[in-house]
Amino acid sequence: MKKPFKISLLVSVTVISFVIFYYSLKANNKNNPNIMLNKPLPAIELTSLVNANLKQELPLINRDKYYLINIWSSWCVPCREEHPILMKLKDKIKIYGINYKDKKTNATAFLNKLGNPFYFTGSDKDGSISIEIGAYGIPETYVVNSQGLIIFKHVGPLNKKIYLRISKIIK
Amino acid sequence: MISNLGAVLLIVSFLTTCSTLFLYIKNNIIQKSSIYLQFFLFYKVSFYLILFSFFVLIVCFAISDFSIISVYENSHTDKPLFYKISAAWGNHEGSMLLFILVISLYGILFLLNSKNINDSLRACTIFFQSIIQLIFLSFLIFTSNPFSKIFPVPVQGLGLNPILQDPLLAIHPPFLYLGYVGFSLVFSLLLASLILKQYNSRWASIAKKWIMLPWSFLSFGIGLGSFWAYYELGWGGYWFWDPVENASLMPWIASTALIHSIVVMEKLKKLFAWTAILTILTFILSLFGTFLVRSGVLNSVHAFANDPERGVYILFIITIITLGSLIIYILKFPKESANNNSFTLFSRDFSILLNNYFLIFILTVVIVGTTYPILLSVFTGETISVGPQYYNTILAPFIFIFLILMAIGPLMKWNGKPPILIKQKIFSFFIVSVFLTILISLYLSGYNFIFLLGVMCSVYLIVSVFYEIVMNKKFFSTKQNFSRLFSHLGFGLLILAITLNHFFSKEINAKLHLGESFFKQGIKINFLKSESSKEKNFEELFGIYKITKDNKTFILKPSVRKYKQPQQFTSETSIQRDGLSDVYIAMDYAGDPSMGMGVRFYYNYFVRLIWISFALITIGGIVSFVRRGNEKTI
Amino acid sequence: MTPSRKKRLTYFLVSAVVVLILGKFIFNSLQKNTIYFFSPTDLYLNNENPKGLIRVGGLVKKGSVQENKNEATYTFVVTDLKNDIYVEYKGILPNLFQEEKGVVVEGTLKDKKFLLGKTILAKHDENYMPPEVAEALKKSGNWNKKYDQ
Repeated sequence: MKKPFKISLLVSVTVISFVIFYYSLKANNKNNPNIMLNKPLPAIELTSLVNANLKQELPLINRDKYYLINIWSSWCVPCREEHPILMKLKDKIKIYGINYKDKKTNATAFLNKLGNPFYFTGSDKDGSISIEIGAYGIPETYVVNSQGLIIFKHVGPLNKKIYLRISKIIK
Repeated sequence: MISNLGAVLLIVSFLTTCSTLFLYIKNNIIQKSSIYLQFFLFYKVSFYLILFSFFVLIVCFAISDFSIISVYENSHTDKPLFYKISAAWGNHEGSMLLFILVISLYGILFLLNSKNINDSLRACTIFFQSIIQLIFLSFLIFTSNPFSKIFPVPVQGLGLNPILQDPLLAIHPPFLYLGYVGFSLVFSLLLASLILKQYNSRWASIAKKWIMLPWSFLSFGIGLGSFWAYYELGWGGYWFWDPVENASLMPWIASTALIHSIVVMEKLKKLFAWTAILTILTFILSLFGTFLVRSGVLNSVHAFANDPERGVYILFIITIITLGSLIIYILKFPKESANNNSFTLFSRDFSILLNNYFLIFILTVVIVGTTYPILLSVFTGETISVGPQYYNTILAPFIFIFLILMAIGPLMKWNGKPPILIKQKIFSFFIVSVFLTILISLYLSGYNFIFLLGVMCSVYLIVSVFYEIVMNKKFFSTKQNFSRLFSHLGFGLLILAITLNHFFSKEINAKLHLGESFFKQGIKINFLKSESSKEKNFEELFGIYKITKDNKTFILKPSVRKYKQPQQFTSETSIQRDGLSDVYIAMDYAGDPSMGMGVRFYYNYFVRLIWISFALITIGGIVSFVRRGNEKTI
Repeated sequence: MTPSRKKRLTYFLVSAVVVLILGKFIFNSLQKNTIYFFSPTDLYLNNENPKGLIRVGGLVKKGSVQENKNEATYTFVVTDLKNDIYVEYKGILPNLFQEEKGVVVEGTLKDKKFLLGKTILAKHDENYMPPEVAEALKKSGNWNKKYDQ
């Protein structure tokens, strides 16, 4: 066998193998589950950031198919980074915000400046509510279903990948 | 912040490796020794940077610095220190860093142990090793950085999975990496010799130990993994033909063929093409195994976190390395050497050639079994799995023949002249093995044909080894004999042990109430009592069982643990020795203890011989490179 | 044809034949030991019952697990929320086996609705649902209800 022939044969076989295994990854991608949570959301009562008389109890049973809970604060830099994604999500799904260890003035200024993605914003001045629902840090986002189960949780700022994931979940 | 230091070290190492390459390319034509010194110095620096970076990662885990994502995801303050440290390489990013460290380490080891080799070959080898290092460093820094940060810093970590807190599981990856990643060096050495036209039998002498060293580690690593699976998974088995297991076995088979091939190349200047191809194949299989385990393309009990995106990168890396090395081979293989490939039928090198064909066949069987589900899912979308029977059925007959060849081969001489008395030897081994097989068969009342065949062939090999030990007056002189004798003996014992274990082990499943006894297959299991205890992060329920077999009594204490965070149940096995066999029991938490506890009981016949065999095979490998032979200066 | 060329041709033919025979061995053994995966709906829609060892996956139906104490057998239902299949399993239920969680059972079909289970495959994360099960649930249109995967 001549050398150029050998080389072209080699290259074609290798490229074909690459393509086959590449497709195997894609094929498996749709099979792969996220970590399934199914943990019930602990019952909490949120006091509105803007109006201390307005309360919201969570979880909500048999109301909306899904809703989000997002833990954030004005002093948290990644919260700022993920904000645009929250704004995109707010048209698709209700987002309940929990404002963590923040000053009312700073929080409202943050929302006024960057936009308010939240259907309801609750104030968690001492952080106890966040601990109650099992938060590890901020920002954190939960997807809760109509049975009060947390079906998805993401720790850290939302990014495009997670945004797509959440969009798929809530379809 | 110490974590930042780690990231910085990585980046600097990356740049240093780049500089190393640049330096080599730039000064390729100049052959001043001072250039080489500078070049080697740069490489050493890049090694130390990676080493320190790895230490930094370990420190971050040890102090539970949760500002680093991998520490946060894989550690917890409640974890014992040993497991905090081992968590550093128990995740994808950390293990990739260890991967790169091993690549670099082998480069340094080579530098330190190659003073009698000409500088241009050394430098070119390090050049290729640096390329591999650079490729994986880029992969690490850009897609899997172990020092990625999270803010705000979480208070506590997520990584408290009890199943991952096991001493053997902790040390298993380093051994495997020192194994299959280590083949990168002989790979680089090969490419260097091809380019510099130094690919010859003197190269083979040099290269041999750079195959034996990783091979020994890999053999040990595979044995370790098998041992862990045995006592931890609780199914009484030690090998499941799981794709992840196969991923480490494939490079092992290829490198075993390579070892034999390179011996022929060194002694008789034949099999040049075989050796080169096998070297490349071994390393590619190591990378392919890495791909299989990390990419999510396989579903297995112990696959890493599935990340198809990273899988694409690894696949791409493998393709580049495969193409690059094979193109170099095609373009630079010394054609003259291919003419010397005639073989006399009854020579030792011919038997090694046969051996290679057998090993390639076995390798093919394993590759097909492992990748068939993947390929099928691409072409037909069907989901299947390949049962272990596939491997057992097709490999058994070939391994039996293989054992005979392993016994007869070493009897032949290198020069092809049939040695005196060889026919008598072959025949007398046969007589002795048949005799011993009959004894064993009668003792155990085992009359299954496959059982008898398996015992006979493995005993045949064992007999031939003992014959050589007893008859060889030059016992302590040549290191080669030692090495081959140990490893071949180990392999014979392994197949013998597997055969005995397969046909004479017992499995009993039962559900017992307190005080109840169960009798089956000559074994009585008595559930004596239960005890409970409480540890820091789990509650444990022990069952005390009395096992009676053949007038021997054993007390076993398996348990079920209920962990609190995350909430999980695990079964801890209880194993007692009975000669070379094990009395083995695991308990399942079937709900309410007062309703009885389910037990899985196994009598694992001669399983300890399996571990002894693994050890012997490994020792054979170690012996070969510990005693340095005469390497000619090239 | 020159003698050396003839020799080469012979070698080539012999090796080709050997390779083909070995390949056939491998292929046969593979076919015989391939274990196919089915969801309960797949089995329902299938006209003929798959023979030999198969795997069936789905969720363990709530309230369906029953124990026959005398013989250490369990019966339960595996469902993909569209179709069900009964499973009779002789052995011990692994720790990770729970109602309303994913399971893959390996066994032989007694008939379309009845599986004699030999092994229950469990993975080491209690939240993990085998991908085949996830896919099966998706296909049966019952994905979004409860299990996000």
